[in-house]
Amino acid sequence: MRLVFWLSALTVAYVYAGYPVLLAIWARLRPRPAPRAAAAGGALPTISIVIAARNEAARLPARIANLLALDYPAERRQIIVVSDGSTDDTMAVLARYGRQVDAVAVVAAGKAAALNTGIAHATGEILIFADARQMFAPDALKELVAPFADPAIGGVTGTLLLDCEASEVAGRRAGTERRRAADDRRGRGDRGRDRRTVDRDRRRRLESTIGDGVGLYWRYEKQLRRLESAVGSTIGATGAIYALRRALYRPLPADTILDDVLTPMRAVLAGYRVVVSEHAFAFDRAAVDSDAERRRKVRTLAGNVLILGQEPRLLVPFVNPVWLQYVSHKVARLVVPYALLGLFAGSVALASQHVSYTIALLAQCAFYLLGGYGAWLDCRSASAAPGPAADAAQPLAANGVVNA
Amino acid sequence: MRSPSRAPLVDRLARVAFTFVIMNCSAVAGLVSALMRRKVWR
Repeated sequence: MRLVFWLSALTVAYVYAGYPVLLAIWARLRPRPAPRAAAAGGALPTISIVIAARNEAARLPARIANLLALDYPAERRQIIVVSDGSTDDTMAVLARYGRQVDAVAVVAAGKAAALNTGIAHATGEILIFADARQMFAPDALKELVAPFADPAIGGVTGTLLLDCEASEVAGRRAGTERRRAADDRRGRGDRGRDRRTVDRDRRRRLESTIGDGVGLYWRYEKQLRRLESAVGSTIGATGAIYALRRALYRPLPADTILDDVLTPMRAVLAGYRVVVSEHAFAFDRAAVDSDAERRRKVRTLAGNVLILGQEPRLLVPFVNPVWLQYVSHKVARLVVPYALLGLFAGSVALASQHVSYTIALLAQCAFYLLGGYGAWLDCRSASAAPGPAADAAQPLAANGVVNA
Repeated sequence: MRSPSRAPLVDRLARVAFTFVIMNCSAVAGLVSALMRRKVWR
């Protein structure tokens, strides 16, 4: 039982503390920075933005307006929206944009098949993957393609900013000047009203218990990705905003759940780097209830399991150039729940033998009680919530608060 | 109006603990879904 206890404890400690520390040391000793600016004198690459959508007629106008307004030459940009068996007005909405948007309708076969179809229509050198819900910052595309100036870079993931962390990043990104400019454009009267709306909306989300926890987890996850990128390649991309050289794209298996992990990992297996652009922002809201977050995590973890069957090379050292990172980041996360069980069972069995095991047991009990209290807070905030609000990312982004 | 950054430390820790538990329960459910080929996306 001691072996179970210590193996479990070491697994949990390595996954959540040891691995980040290892990466931080590695990044300090042997950093591999990616270029932030495009090569001097080089033209911007042609890009194809691909969105798979099903029944997104309500969201697409704002999304397409966002894409059309981005700072990127229109003649070097293609927008492709694939309607994956939509039964609403998705195609009618897309038809309004004429030649500005390539609308493709396919029978419902899932996101992976829709992406395959969309990319078959792509002509750009760089593919940009996006979703219907999230919005991009005005300079996101330029920031996203800049690292491709290095021919060793095959993919770039942007940074997804959740509403619950927006103010932090807004401040960190020295957005005062942009905010001021946006405010000047809107005028003083509108500004006050907009700010009040944004503040109210943001507070509503900040009060979401799960949103707060997810925000913290997401910051941790992004830091891991930055460190992985700094030492070579990040493990997976952010589905809402990532880019890939079109030449590296291979059609996804129909049952793919995580295209944003499989696609970049295939580029890594082909010998390219996949890096993080910390300045290419997309905006989204954190899950507003624990059930939504649980569904999202189930999907993610199920996708991680499926990928092991789709690309078993990922588990082979020396074939996968980022094997250590992949196993430490993705595979180990699948193991942690069982390590937690082993740790708890070991603590119970050994508690009477030594005070250190007793302390370990008490600490775990305290932690799970705390989790129970968190569940109660979540129920309370869910019942007190005034109802689902409009998409938070839109007002925040539109008002220049998170873009700043 | 109280935001989490001003919430008591115990509340903030509770939120993190709850999210951690949810994530790990989801990992088990995700494995089951994958093994049973249950449809979890579209």
